[in-house]
Amino acid sequence: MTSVFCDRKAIAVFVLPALILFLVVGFLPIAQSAYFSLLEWDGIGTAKFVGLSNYVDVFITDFFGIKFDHSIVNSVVLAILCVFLQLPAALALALVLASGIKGERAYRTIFFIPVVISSASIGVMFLKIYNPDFGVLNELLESAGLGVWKNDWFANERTALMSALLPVVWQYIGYHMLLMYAAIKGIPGELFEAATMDGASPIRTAFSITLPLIRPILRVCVTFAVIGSLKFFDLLFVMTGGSPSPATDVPSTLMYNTIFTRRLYGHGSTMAVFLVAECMVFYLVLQRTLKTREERGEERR
Amino acid sequence: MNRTKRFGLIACAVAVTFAAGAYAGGQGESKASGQKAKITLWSQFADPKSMDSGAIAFFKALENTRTRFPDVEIEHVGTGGEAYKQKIPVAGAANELPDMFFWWGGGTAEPFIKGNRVLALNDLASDGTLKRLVPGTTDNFVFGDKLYGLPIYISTAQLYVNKELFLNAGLKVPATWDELTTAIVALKAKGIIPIALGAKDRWPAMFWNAILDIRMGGVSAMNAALKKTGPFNTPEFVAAAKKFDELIKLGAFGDNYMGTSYDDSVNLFLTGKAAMIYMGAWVNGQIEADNSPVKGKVVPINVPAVPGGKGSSNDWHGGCGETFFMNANLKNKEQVWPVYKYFVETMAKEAFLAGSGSSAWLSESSDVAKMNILALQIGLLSAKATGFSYWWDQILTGNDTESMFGSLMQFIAGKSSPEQYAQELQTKISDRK
Repeated sequence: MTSVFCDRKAIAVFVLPALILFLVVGFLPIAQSAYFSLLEWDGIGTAKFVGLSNYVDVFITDFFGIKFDHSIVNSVVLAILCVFLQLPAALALALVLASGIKGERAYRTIFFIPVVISSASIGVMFLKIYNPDFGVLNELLESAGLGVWKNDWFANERTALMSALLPVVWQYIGYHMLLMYAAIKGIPGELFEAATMDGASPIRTAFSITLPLIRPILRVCVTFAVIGSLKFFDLLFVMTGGSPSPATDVPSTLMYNTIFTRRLYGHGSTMAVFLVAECMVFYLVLQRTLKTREERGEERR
Repeated sequence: MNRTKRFGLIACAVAVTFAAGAYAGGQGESKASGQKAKITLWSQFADPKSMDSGAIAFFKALENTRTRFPDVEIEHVGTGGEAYKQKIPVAGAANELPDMFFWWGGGTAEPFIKGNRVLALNDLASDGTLKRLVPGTTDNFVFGDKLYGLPIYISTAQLYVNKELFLNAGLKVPATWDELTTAIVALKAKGIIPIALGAKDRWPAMFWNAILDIRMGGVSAMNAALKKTGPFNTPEFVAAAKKFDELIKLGAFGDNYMGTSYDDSVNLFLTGKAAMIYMGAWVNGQIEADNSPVKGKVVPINVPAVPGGKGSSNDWHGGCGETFFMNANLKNKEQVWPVYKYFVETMAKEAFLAGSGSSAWLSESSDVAKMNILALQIGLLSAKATGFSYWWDQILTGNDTESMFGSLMQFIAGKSSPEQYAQELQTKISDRK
């Protein structure tokens, strides 16, 4: 049987189905988008080749006032929130859960529920919470005597972005928590026993044993959180879709809007190409920076 | 087994898998040819139980047409809401449109006309059909000198007034602009939202902008601007924007109009938290529904004429904009045409009875007794119409619509002045032909 795996032709045949699938479903659409980004096209009629002028318009002249650059900033804000708010929260929950508290499994399930619920339902739920006329949030503020803080959350430019991004951050805490929890559970118990014997406090144990040992999964979480933020779509699309104020636009909602509502296939494809490139760059940079630190640790040892 | 043989076997297996897939694909296609003539029909009416008057009319018309033409099989696929608005363009791009499909006229239809996806009806409709239509109702379906769709019903927007709230506040239903502004101030003082506005969905705000433009500049100037044969930055339209701004500053739309969605705004009106709403006739059904708290308390009126404006109070925001298009590649169009014609006319009649608006087809008197009272009143009001100007977001192309919405939202959020706003529309829409 080993001879099959040494046979290059056989390897090629086995790889072929997956490779074809990847090329057709993954690579071809990207290549197609890259081509569309050079066209002026409404998606139905005849297309005109315009070279790089779509790129110039999307990033520099912005003739139609789409404000793509603004949406990129928003997605970066989301990435920062995810890394510095969502992941620490997820880590804290994972550490507490893994320490073997009462009702461990129940809590694990409860925290994971938002990940399982469809984003559309969560979006509608938060729309009701934020509703300026009868929303829970405003009612709570009112009854707590903080009526002056009542707000039209999505319309007010100062609160729109945070109001829209916090549900996103909240939704995926459970997801990262589960990844980290599983990683912590995979650490051999003797290490914790030894630490307890040496008299290390739970916090000391967390920082000196747990965190260094789950570093690979933390790296995965950071990568997921950042890349996921850059191309985030569904929940924001349901909640605001960029209206009433464009303050809550992110690149994917804007791209959708540009292609399907404005019917500017060229501009939309330009954004798509940028998104692919942006995610690749961020991915590589993250892999680099996080890896070197790990290697540095190994060298020191 | 030697190596080459094993490799051959694997290759065989792969080949068989692919061939099986291809065979299965081929089978699906051959099913299409049948005995009966078959018409595929797509619409945005997905739920046969819907209370939406358009949906009621559609499903009644579909049923009647099926009974009337037993030798024709109509295969209907309904896709609700936004999904439908993506489905048709995607099918259009792939040239896989059905024989007949529901769509909007004006700029929304332009890509399909330019891409030769839709059948021109001039030859077919010269059988006397055109004479049976209310004049002017085909405007949004004519491109160049060709007609592409038959009109269904005339849809209008009017100001719905909650008489009870007005009475309680000691006010009378406003007939002039001054009476309207006085009422706004008085209602606001009583803690009632004077006018419900769902600006979060953008188009309800556009409705107010449109009717004020129509009042200040007149229907012809409005239509010229929308069709890019006239300017958007005229003094009249700037004045209209100023009126809109005045209403906002007066508190006419409450404090939270920006974050209120269309559905929320209708609910504010239905629950009596808001005293007026300027909306299309499709809300008739909801207002007069048996469980509606405002049933029987609402009267539709024209938005009063604005002092100094060129338009009269009988100029309307609305018109005919929805239709069914036929596929340009339709093979048996002579056979489909009578079905199409009967279907559209029946839907027009049923839409009128369901309270969607008056029919675009001239016909003998219908059974008025069963009709929605609001629809009847609106019919009487709009019978005096001196002109129509249709919804901006249908006349303009998708891109122009988004540019318009962008500027409009900036304007009503108080970030640009009336002059800047009018100028933005001019540069973004009119100057770009």
